Amino acid sequence: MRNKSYLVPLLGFVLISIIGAVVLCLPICNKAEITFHEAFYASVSTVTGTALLKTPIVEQFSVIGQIVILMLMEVGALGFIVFISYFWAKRNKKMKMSDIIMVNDNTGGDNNYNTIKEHSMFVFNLVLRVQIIGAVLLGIRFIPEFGLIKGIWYGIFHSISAFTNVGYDIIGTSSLYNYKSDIYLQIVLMILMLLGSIGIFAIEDLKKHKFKSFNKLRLQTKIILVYSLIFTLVPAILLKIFEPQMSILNSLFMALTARSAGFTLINLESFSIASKLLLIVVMFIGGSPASTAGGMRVIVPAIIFSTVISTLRGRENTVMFWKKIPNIVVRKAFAIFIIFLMLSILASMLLAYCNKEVTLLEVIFETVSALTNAGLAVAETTSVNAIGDWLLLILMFIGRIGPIAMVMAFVHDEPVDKLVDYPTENVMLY
Amino acid sequence: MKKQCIIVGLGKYGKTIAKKLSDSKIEVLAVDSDMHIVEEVAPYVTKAVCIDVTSEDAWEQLPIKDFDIGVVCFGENLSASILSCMILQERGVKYIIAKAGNKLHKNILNRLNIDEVVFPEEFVGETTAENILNLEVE
Repeated sequence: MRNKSYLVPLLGFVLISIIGAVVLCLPICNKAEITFHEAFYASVSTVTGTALLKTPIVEQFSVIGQIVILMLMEVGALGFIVFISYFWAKRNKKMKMSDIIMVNDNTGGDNNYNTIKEHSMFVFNLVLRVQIIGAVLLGIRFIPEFGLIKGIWYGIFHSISAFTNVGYDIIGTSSLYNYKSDIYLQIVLMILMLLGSIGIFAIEDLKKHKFKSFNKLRLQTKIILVYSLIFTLVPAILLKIFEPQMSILNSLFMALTARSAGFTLINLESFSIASKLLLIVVMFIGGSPASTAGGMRVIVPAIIFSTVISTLRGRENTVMFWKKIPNIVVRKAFAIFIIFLMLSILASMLLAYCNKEVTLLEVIFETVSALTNAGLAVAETTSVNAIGDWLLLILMFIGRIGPIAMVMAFVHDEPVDKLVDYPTENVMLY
Repeated sequence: MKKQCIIVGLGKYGKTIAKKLSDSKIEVLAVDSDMHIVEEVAPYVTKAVCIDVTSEDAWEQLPIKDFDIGVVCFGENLSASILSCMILQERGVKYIIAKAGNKLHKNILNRLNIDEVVFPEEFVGETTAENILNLEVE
């Protein structure tokens, strides 16, 4: 009865990471020497979209190595969203077959893809188009500075890095520090990150209603749009308050990049404790479902937030935008939240045990950064030994595949305990 | 080991058996298709669950083979009675007692080789008749 298809993304990611590591080990890919361990770390970090690295890309990898990294980013992010949309499209299709009348009522019949393949192609085309436009826009900025070929290459690389929410840059050890006041570049990168993290279904839904009527959008899309906005603007405002020397655009960029991409625009070591804690929370929240972003996904905190409010008001159901969220979904949201929280705490403990010279904040930051695939780093990476490295690797994997695997593993057409029902008995909470 | 007893069908008859057995420290699993009745019995017995007794998949979820004694107490609902008896028998419950609602029902249960078939109306009727015979009215 249990659905085993969650194994597909899991094995896929492991396989691609290993292949990537082997290729990255080749001398042709490297400028400096590399061990298999380091290559595997880089490969996993790229495929999962985390971008925590031991040495900056430009110092470690040659142009060919960088192309390999680029391909890993694309495979990791694209493969992931194509797979997820494939999975859900297939499920929805099954539902439609059995309930054709209801579907026609709801969607007017224009949401029926002829084939799942067609749907996947739509996703693929969309992603390709966005990335090409992004590359052109970034190229316009980079070509005058770095010359034609290097400029085009930088455009392509950063466009993909931003859209896939990986967050690598190949500008050098100074990262994006020199572009702090570059409004054009930041806005282009921000739009790319946003499109990548908003999720394919939200974009599809918006396109269907031609960006006109908010009320007609699916509940899913409404939650994503409204809460993405809240979870970006509120942290941006708080960051501006905590770090008064930062420009408004910079704080907006940092709030957005923390939600999953992890571009290094400003050296985080100079940040106050308050801002670092804020960034941890933002990383934790992450992007949207079926997107290239990581983290817990906005839907989860959104549902938890609404549930808390409804509970305090003495309501029995979680209601959002005048729609009731199914109880089973609320329970899943809580499960994902608690598991993420427990994992972060446990892993932080373990990591701190492995490396006794780090501060509490650094350890938590690093753990959450790996688990949510954000890849922001407060200090030089805190992990000093192999155990710490492996721990971070496992966290990256769990962060990438964990939630979807959990959701998929527990997707049943009917709840398993429906056949046997138990008598209710109340318990006291206080 | 304690005797373990599964009681299916919690009408007045089944409920009485369940309460009485639980008082004498026998492990009782009470089963019925109606949640209200299950909740009524739940405080008395070891365990109480609500399942659709005519569904084999639902029975699959219960550890029936652990039980020594099964009591099936459907008088009116013939199909529920027969199905429950069959399932308890197939899953290896050692001793099964079933209640019959009428003559035909009693014959069917006898054909199924149920260890003990109870026909309360007949039984109580005979007892009452006997009581009357022994009664001395002045």
